[in-house]
Amino acid sequence: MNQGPLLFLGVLCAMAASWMGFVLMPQVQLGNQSTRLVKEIGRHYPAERGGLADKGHDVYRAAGCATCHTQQIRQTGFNFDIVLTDAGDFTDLVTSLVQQVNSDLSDQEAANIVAKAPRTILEGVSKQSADSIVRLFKDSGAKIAANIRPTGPDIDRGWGPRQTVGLDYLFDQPVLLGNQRIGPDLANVGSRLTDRQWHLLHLYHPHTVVQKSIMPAYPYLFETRPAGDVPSPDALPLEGDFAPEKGMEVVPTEEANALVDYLLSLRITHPVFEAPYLFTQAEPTENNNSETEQAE
Amino acid sequence: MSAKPKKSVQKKKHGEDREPGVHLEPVPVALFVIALLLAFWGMMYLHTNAGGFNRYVYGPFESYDLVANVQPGSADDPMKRGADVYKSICLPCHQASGLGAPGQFPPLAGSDWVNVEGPNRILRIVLNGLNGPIEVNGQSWSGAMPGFGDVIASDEDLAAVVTYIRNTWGNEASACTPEEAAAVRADSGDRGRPWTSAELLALPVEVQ
Repeated sequence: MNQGPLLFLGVLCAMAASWMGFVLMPQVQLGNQSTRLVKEIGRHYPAERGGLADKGHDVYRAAGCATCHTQQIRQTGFNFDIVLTDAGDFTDLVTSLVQQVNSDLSDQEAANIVAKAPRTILEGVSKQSADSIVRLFKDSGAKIAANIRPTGPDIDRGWGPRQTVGLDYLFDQPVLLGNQRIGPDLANVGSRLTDRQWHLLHLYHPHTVVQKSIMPAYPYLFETRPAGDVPSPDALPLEGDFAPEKGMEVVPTEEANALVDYLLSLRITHPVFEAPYLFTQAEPTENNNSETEQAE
Repeated sequence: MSAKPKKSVQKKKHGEDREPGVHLEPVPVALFVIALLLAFWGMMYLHTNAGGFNRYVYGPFESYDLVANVQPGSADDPMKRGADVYKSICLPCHQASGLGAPGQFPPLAGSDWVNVEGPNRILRIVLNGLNGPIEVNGQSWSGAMPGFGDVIASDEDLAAVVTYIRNTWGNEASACTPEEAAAVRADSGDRGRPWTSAELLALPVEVQ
């Protein structure tokens, strides 16, 4: 055993090679990104979470949410919606072209589209057909837009409008991508479920809001304490089997509030360069909550 | 105990002086050559088939060009539209660099007439033109610019070209909306003669 330096050199080379492969190369390829001005929303993206939501990230991690929930929306393809944005002056020509593109349209429907532009002519066509349709209309005086639309099982499930990309995770330390989908994906949960109270009840016991949920309850994030003369405004409105004993009330701890803040901050609401789609500024509304309750 | 018979076996094989140990045997040169050729082939294979890595390209998109090509609404991007209008109308005098021509056409790049809060004055110059002396960045210019209100008939195009001028060559000013362009066009509708710099300086920079 007199080859110590050689052995050391061999081990060093092996370690250096794997370090270059696992640490250095990814850093060169994907690291070194910074926030970027997204023109659709007119501000830099992403923003730091800050406040309680930052602490909620640690609670999420500690409670093991990433065991059953992912935070990555996948996209398997894309197609195009063909929209007639402006019919121009030659309506007869444009009407016949519209019918040529979408032969299912009757004369009446095609004329209607041309008269009421902007209207969608055809949905879900490939890049190649979209290009040829745009070429077809080129000299007709009409304006055609081919709007890209992401497709894939995750997007069909309503988990988000587009796939997540490296930029979305810029301020996550560590990134909690998750690898099992026992529960739904949470990358865009803040847009789908906007109600704080709903999240708190769901964490206290999922069955209070979702009958068939298989998610475990997290009662340790809440404090059951004697209610004073005036009940706390934070107390959960629990009924039936879930109601605490008489004279007691259940209030969320700081951890529960932080976790809900974090969940509400998980939002994928606009396109980025890497994952384009047509941005329509549709803000989530309150009635989204009732729709998704069954899904959760 | 078990070492003894082994020793005797080795003695028989290699002779008496030979001690067991680790030695460096010379590696055949051919092996080196083959390894180098294999490495070279591997690199060439990766080079031709790996497609390169680009941080802006995620599946299902295949290349950067494709991603750039399918960006939504690129046809209605005022900067692109403005660049087209600029190329056909403004570029002969003010140049692609936006620097104009010394002694003849004042610069747009870094100009203190362009980089102001509102596009009111520059819209009026584009619509009706400008006559007589004008001071740009402390330098005096004299010349005449015709109005292009008739050539740039669409308010969208007018707003786009002003937005382009105010946000290119290092200029950083707010975008001009088609509404602003329409308002200024309506306000200076029947003017019919170019502005002078004194008249413009009397107007507010922002569209009212």
